[in-house]
Amino acid sequence: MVAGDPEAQAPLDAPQTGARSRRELLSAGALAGAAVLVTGCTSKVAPPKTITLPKRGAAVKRDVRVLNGLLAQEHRAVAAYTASIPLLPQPAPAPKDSSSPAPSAPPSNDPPPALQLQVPLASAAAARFLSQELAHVRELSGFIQQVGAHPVKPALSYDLGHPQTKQEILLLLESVEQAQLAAYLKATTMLSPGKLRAAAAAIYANHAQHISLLRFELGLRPIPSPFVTPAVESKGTPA
Amino acid sequence: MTGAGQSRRQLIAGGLGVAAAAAGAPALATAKDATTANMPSNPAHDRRVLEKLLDTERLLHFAYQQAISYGKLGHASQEIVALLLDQEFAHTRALNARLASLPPAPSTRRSSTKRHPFPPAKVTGLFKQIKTETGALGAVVEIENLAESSYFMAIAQLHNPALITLATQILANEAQHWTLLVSLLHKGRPEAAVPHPSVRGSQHLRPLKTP
Repeated sequence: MVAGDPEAQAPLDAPQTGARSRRELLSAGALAGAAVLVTGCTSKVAPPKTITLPKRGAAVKRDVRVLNGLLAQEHRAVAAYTASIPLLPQPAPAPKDSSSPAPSAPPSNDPPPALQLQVPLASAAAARFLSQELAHVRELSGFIQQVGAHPVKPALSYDLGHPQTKQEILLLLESVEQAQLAAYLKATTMLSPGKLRAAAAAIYANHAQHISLLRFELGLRPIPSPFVTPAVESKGTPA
Repeated sequence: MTGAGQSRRQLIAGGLGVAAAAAGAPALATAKDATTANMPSNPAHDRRVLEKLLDTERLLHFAYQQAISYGKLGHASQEIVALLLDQEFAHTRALNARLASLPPAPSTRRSSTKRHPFPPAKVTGLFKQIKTETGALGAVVEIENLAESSYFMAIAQLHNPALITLATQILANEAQHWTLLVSLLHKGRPEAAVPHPSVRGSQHLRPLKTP
């Protein structure tokens, strides 16, 4: 599974089935949409107003390297979600005959039924997470541009393996999120202004939320530890 | 993955023992690998920040215990609340361990600091409104919001890299608690369970929509 710049016409490595060409078209279309989103978002980034970063000093270069390392991870996550969403089971279409609303239940004095934990639809969750990865791209790019540096661009392609089933796709997404956790946790002690560290930690917490729902989808314990720790050591060196 | 016949409820409840056993260990193992950003050391300041975080955890203990003592939680809610409270206890143990390793505060400082009543009146008032299971969990969600805000601010204020790492790991865990509780309240809708790309919490308590 290779996700990247649709303008480069990089075909996806799809399974050898009769649906291969359709799968490629779906994925390429999704990538095209996401590429437009990403390009449009990063080219019009407004610097975050809540954090004022110094533009000079030894720490600035280091911070830019660290932030670009995080941004590279986010680009990879955007690619992974974009390629994965069309391959996940999609919600059933709404029934056509919805002209007459269903009759409402009569009022009752019985207590409401007990709450039950429900598994979210994987494609809906992934779409939500993609929108948030794109927001992370915007925020990180904004910090980098604020100090006059250049945000790193997405790679032309990403090697995401060959997931075939829903479980394999979710495992891929979970591993992408784990890599982000590793990068962000390391970054929080490397960034200089306290507010920038906190901003990185806040995004780390968002990735932890993603992982908990992905784990729930996979039938795993959603919150296995009281201390969110990456499952892998960070290989994400600063750009 | 999962054993045959193992329900999702069992999977969530199964985390209880693992969470207790893992208290403190992952944070310490990660902290020793952290490189620093040349931050000046300030143990006295870090001590004050940790003490505030311990107050936050006390508030969370109160909130979860109030929800449990309300007595009308369904089975799924009871298991989740018990698991999350256990993780809050693990946070407190880890924070206390870190506090013990810092130089002691001057003996007169803390006694001269004005002590606010615990729990705060607004928090007590929030839990007095509870009439339903939804209200009980909604109140806990509000306190988790406050906790997220406490940890978010603490991370900006701490100097010691190991403490920054610990606070980051706990912030992320509180965010996961929030997500799980809201998933329970909103039938798993991801737009409700993960509404924002950045977890910063809130310093303000909101009134319960459905007490």
